[in-house]
Amino acid sequence: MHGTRRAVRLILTGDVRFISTWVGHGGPSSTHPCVWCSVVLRRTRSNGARVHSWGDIEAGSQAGGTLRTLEEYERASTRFTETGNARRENPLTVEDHLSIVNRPLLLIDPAHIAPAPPHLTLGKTMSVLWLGIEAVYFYNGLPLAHVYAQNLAHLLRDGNGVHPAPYCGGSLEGRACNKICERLGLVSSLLSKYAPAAASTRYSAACDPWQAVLPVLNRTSAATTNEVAAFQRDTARFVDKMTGAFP
Amino acid sequence: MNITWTATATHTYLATPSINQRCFVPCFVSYFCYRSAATPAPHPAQPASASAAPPALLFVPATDCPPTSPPTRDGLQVFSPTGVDVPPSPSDRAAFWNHHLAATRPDKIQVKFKNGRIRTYEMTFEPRKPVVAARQMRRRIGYASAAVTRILGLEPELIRAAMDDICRRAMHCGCVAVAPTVPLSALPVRLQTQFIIDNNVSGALFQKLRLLLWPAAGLASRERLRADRALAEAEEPHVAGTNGGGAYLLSPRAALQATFDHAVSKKQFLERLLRGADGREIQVTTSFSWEDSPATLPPPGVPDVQICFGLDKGGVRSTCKAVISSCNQEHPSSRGNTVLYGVFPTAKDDHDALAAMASV
Repeated sequence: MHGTRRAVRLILTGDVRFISTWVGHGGPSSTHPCVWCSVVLRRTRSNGARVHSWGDIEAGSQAGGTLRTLEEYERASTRFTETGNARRENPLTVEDHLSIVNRPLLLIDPAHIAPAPPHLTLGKTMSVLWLGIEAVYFYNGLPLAHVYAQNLAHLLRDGNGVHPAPYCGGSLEGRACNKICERLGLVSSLLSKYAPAAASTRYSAACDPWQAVLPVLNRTSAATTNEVAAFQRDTARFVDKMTGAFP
Repeated sequence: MNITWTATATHTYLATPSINQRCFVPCFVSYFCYRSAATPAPHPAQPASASAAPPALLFVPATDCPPTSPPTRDGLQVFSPTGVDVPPSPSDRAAFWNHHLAATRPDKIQVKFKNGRIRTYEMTFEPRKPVVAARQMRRRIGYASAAVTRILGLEPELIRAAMDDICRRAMHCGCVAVAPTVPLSALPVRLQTQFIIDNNVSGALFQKLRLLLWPAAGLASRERLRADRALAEAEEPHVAGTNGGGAYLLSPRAALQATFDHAVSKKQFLERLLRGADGREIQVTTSFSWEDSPATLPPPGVPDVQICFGLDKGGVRSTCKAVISSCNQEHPSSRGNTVLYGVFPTAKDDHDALAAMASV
């Protein structure tokens, strides 16, 4: 570049399942589901010590996991050169491999793994809407949840101006997520008619941080230091409130 | 951009917003029906005798459109458009006209009332966020008009009108209007090839366009396009190979190098500094030497380029595409700014399949 040699920093992107497979990780449903840290999927009656050591993903921002390093993946690359952990004669235990069960196809620093923005914006927005439907189902049963889902669809279409878009038509996401996010208060108001007031209040409080997080995820301009700090704070608030509202 | 329909009313006593708004839809409808009735064309599903018969009359009131309501005070009469044998229901009517008008998008509509008055409706675009001030925009249009006038040798008024239209459309779609400063006899063949590929235009369609516009328009013949495409395919950044399971670039390094060279030549290369754990950018302090790290991570503080590698599944055929893009540009995820590294079978979540993919 300009006659000078530059270093190349490779960033792995895509959906989480692809990223997991590419780095030899067992996937989001394995015991240690995260490719960035070592948190445990869920606390059971027998894994208290492991959760204490490696962190609890359900604790939100207080998960307390240990960040994975490039050396960890390099070690897995050495271990599983011939075959994956499942086909080894003496398979390693979970404590040994921490859910990295195959040879990484690419050695990459975990800090350079970034999910594709649509999988974050679209996936999380859909999850927020789904959680509302599940809340109605939990409190009032399937028939009312069905009615709520239909009314939610009407609300998104008529109130938020969101129209269904085909994936292959080149309009995968557009501004639909942003439109939904801007008026999440409408969704909370609708939920308050179908779920107990306490639940809808918690849901509304959990949605507020997402309104601050989402516009940052799909913008292209560089962020300032203050924006980075605000983003970290808002994501922690979002996760904590969501896990608090939907334990 | 904000698109608004404004009425350039000839008669000011009808130009209050409420009246304009009320009258606009029925006038629009009557005008369109008048046009379609004046130039009847038989519908494919309609017999010849039916198309020759006079169309049914439909009355449109000023505010609402019930089928049995009397005609308006202006006596507007709406003819059934060609292809619609029965009047649409009131609820469907507005959607029907809106759909048609959105498809045809006429720039100017003139409605002649029974009393002889003519009203013109013209679509105007109001930029929500103008890029430059009005004075600077006028100066740019004037400069571009003068430049184009010198090249084409046409009337200045004609050029100015064309440039106004071009700038208006460019502002509407958020693009930049570009005027050539030197005469171009024809578009470069490589540009035409790129246009064909980018827009999935078939060779047959392109040749039809060429014959329609005459070969003097500068569109390349089929043979020239084929020769240029063969040349392009042989260039190192574009050479592709197959392994039976997929197709892939043989030299992604050359493709990326070409991307960076293009960005640098167009002054679109952006420096993206690495951030530390505290979120602060790490300034470049040392130069990068090749001996540092072919295999290990480059240290922070050296000049770098950031490259994203990822897979995307989708498309008409169920395949997964390996895509490479550079973060050192303004829109890294835009399709035009990415490099298609390869097309592979759709099983991307299986480690063995990915290993076979990675072996290329």
